[in-house]
Amino acid sequence: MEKRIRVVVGKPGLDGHDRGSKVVARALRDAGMEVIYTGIRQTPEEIVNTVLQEDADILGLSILSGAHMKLCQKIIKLMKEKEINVPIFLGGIIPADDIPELKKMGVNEVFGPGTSFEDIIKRVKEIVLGTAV
Amino acid sequence: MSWEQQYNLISDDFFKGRIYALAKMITLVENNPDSAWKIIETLKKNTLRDAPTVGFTGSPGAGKSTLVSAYVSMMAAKNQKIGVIAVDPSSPFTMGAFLGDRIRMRDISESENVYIRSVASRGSVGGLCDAIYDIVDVMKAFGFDKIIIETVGAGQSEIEIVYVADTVLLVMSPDSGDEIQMFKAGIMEIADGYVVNKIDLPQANAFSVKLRNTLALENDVKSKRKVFEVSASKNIGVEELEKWIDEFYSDMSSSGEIFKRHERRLKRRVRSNLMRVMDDIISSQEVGKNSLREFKSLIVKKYIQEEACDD
Amino acid sequence: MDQENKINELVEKKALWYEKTFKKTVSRFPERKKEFKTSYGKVVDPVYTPADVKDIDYAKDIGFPGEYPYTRGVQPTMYRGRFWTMRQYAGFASAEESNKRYRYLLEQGQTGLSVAFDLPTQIGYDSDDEMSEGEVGKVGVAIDSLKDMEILFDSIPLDKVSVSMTINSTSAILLSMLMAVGEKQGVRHDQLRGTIQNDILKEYIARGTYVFPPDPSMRVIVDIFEYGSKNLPKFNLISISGYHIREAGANAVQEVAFTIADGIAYVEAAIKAGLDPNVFGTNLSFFFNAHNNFIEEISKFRAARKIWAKVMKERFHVTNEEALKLKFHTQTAGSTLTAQQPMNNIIRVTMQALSAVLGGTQSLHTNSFDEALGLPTQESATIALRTQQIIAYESGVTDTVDPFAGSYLIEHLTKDIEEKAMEYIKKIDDMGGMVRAVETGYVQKEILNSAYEAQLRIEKKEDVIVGMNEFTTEKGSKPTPILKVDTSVEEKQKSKIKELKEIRDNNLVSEKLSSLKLAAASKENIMPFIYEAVKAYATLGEITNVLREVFGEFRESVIL
Repeated sequence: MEKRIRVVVGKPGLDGHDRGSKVVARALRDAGMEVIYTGIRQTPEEIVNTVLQEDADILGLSILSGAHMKLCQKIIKLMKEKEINVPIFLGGIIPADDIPELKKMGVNEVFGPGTSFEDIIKRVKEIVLGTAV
Repeated sequence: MSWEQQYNLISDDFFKGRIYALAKMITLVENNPDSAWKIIETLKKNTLRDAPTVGFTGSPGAGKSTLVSAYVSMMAAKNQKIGVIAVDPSSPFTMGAFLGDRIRMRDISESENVYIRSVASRGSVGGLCDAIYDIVDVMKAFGFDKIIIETVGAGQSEIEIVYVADTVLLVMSPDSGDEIQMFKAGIMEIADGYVVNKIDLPQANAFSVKLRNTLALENDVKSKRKVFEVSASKNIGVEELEKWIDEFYSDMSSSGEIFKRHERRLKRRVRSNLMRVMDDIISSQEVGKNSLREFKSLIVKKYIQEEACDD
Repeated sequence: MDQENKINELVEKKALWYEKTFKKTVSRFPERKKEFKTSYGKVVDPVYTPADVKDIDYAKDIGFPGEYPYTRGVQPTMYRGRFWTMRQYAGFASAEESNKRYRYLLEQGQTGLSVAFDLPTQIGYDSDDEMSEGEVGKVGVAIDSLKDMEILFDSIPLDKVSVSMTINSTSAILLSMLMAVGEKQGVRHDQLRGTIQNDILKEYIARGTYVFPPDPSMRVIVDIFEYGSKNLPKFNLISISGYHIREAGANAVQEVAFTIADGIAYVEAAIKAGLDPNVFGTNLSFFFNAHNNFIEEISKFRAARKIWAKVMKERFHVTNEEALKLKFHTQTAGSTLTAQQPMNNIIRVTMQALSAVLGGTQSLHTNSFDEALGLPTQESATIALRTQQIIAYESGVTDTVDPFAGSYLIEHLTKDIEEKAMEYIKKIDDMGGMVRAVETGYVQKEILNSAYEAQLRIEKKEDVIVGMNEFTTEKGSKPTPILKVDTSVEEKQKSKIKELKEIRDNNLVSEKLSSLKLAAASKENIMPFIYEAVKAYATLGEITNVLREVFGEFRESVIL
């Protein structure tokens, strides 16, 4: 059977602007993926636990409130503690200056405003199939 | 990587009770339907655990996830280990799926005693997925005290749950237009317990009365089936339901009903499995100039060949 | 009869024109698209004529400015009297820094303040709460107690400057703080002017800063209406917001329909609690989005005004004319801003702002061009304000009231949007009202469908976004400087709270909080109790936690 990509799409922090995350979740589903959507205001603990229990292939985060540095740091730290090795992509309002540091931290890809579905789907597939067990 | 290699990578950690290994084991049986039974056999060699399985079915919007959450949190509070399988539909066109039940289970999703796994139906039409029997077995082998299954919730055709679960609950909501649909459907007859959820709604009482009249459970003194009025979100009536589920199970055990159900399950499972394999063979064979009878023999022969290699 | 003949003649002539002139040209020079559509999917004809407005009765449907049904505007003179309030939404980091920005904006000619709060303040967490980590001072100013609020409005006279606060779940607390600061400045409560957003339904629908479940949330809003219509006559006690609904992806019709449906729910709740819509109706205000489709947007504002007046008059039997008028604030559409070639956003904002002015807005926020990248800098915020001033002083559109009225297309669209919106409202009524429609996820699903379709149109280049899916430049334009919020704000706020808890009268605080708890559990109006707690320097988080205990917390059921 063809492998189904399982994606967790999560919104950590207090930001409630979920248009982007929902629309991307739908695009990933329509590209044949199984999407576990967490809803807004998730704690890093909840998101990491979801990734763990659902055996996700990749984690997508959406943050528009400017809290991305702290939240990504926390999520990556928790994943390391739990020995979860799952790639991460990030969307939202992310200043260009922050991207190198985010990547160093362990974020695989950052999608800024205006990124097309096509690009997101393509990158997600590349990342997952490239790192698949 | 072959399934054996993948299995070997995680099996030690699986038996040590590590969640990541459980999660990966489920993926393994889900993605390898042809070898799943071998995985299950290997797991069973290492452990002989069984656990009651409770199924929740009912139409979308009836509040199944909220009810499962309220029910499971009660057991988790008593330190019971619970595995939850929540099935959502895959798109027949893209095979993609939204798995969204987990979000309605936030009260239990962070509990150490609870494991929730969202599963896509992947083309199965009975309200569950083809791998459901295997997933339940993996969960049993992991050592949960109880397994909870939430079906897709598309309605009448969801009878598969009767074979998979020991006990089946039909969840209904007075406001979701269930009434007409459900009272007619075959699904009414298959449930063991009937849950009228959202009992705080104004139209709930009338709904309940009508349901009780239709079922007329009181007329059958031997029947242990029952109607429950609950509000999952306000946690009303869930405790009574929890108690009844356990009682119903022990009644089934002492009466021998549970063995009947186990047998029924095994037959169904074998049937599903054979049908899937047969289906593959039939669709990959050309009829050509064969007569109906010849074609049939050809299929059977093919099947036996395949079965032989598989062993 | 004569009129009807004329119209019939016109319809024939148009058909003839279409067959002869139009088709001939199209056969040689095809149109750019097969269909031209509005945001809500209405196919727009190549040309409109009096035949397209033949069902519109001028006196009944359009009328005169300042008169029912207010299609042309709520004041008779509109901008010939005075311009709209130029109100830029701002706030970041600490109260000290935001105070500086406000004073700068007032010096630059801004005429009202609009306070942006950070997410912890909006959701009722103190800066030292675990949930606030990383969020303090990020999307607005952090307010933990009355102390911060005193600093925020330092040297800003609250009897002269009107203050709009984007606050919803915790609006009762922030309103109380504003009243307390006013009192310290010697400003009576009935002199305070401004707005609290206080629109919880759209938080469940689109914006996500809810705290309590719908029922207690609606009760708090009604408490504020009751208290405010007695004590704060010049204050808008709610700003029923379509802005965020549109930002979440709704089209123009959905924006109007869902906003009006929210309004209906609030009015119904207040009437049920025994309030008179003739009285509290004057304290209601609205908040809309100014999006890209210029003509559609102008029509949308006019339609919204007309619908509300009709709803208040016909459905709620309101007789006080002031309570029929839909007064609204507008913000240009943040979601239309591109991160690519950000300077282009200045032009987008200009046109969006122009549509709001032509639509008769009472106040306006123009976005800064760098908002798809981060928080606006002082420079970008100034350009945004200047955009409004140029429209006001230089364009000439302000010299006549509702100058686009009478355009066949505008009048036709105004009517069409009204009709389509009323269809939605009817549907929501049938579901048992907006609270139910939101609980079942119907509204959210409709919006998400529109959002997804809009994105697909962009992907397919059916909708062109200049600089993003067309006319892109190989290399991104030169990096735009953006505002960075000092990360030490969080630590500073934490130590301020610690200090406050050492010097305030803690016995008084717990006494006031216990009274609040009792009031919340009873049917009493909680506003006076919150006001007392605020004055005793109870923190925002402490007050919200008391209410959380009584009311419970809301959890969304996600709709995808």
